[in-house]
Amino acid sequence: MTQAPHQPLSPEGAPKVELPDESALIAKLKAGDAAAYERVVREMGGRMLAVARRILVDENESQDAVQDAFVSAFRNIGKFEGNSQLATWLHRITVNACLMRLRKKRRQDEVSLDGLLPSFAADGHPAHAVSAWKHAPSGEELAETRNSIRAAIEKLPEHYRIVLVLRDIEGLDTAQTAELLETTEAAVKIRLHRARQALRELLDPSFRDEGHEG
Amino acid sequence: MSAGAPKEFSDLVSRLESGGNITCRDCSEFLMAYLDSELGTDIRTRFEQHLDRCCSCRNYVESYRQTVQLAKEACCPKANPHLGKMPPELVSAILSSLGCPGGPKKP
Ligand SMILES: [Zn+2]
Repeated sequence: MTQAPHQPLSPEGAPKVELPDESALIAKLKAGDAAAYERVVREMGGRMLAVARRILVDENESQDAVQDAFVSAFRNIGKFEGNSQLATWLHRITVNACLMRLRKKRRQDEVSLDGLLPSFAADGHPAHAVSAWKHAPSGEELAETRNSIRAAIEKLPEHYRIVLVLRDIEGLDTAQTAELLETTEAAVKIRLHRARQALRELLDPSFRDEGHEG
Repeated sequence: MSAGAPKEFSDLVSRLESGGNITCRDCSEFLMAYLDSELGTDIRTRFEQHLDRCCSCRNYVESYRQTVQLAKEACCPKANPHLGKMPPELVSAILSSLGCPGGPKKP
């Protein structure tokens, strides 16, 4: 079962979507108004699905998680206190629903970042000098570049990808991430750093500016 | 120094105190702590002195920053509205699981 959260997300992590007449809408949801349910599903569902896809990758799992999240949210709407926005509350419930699904799968085998971390000689010098990066493209190439970046994120081992998604993309802070993943803040920091390093390594061949060797 | 700093942090501090230098490996390991302003003033200064004379580490720091930024932008809902399209079947499935099949009705 997905727990309904009581604490709002950090402000930077909160999706900044306020529905017009939000307090009237919440009153209708609390009264069990089916039209209000439908409106929330249609207007908020897409963002929730995008969050689920980032965390779970698998499309069926993502859709199931969004369904879990809505069922949990409406069952617990009485606990919604209005000290955060509805979108923020739904975001947190969606993250919870996704993590619940990941825990059930418990894919513990993919923890190696072999070949995706920088390597150094015994004296601390890098095995290869690092090149500068070019600027990201704009215009028509931009969409393609973003697709390839999302594909690279999906390539990260799950153990690392989750932390990168929760911290850097969903905007949760270290303490919130540690709590959700049932680990320590120090472990979250190390995993985040490793995940960023590995993603940098995956992007390096496309972004390296060969004209400006280090 | 922050309470959440990695354990190897104390190794770095004692190595520097006994006259050692910051290496490129240290830059890579403590980069996130550096960017989060979690290094003590002395180590931060030494870190920046290394960056001043090491092009490879400067490139690493900058590309690491870019990586974080690129990941954010590639997933930002505003920039990528197509990523959050609800399939109509999912909307129906959710509504019927909430007890409102085929449109608005009291659950
Ligand atoms: Zn260096």
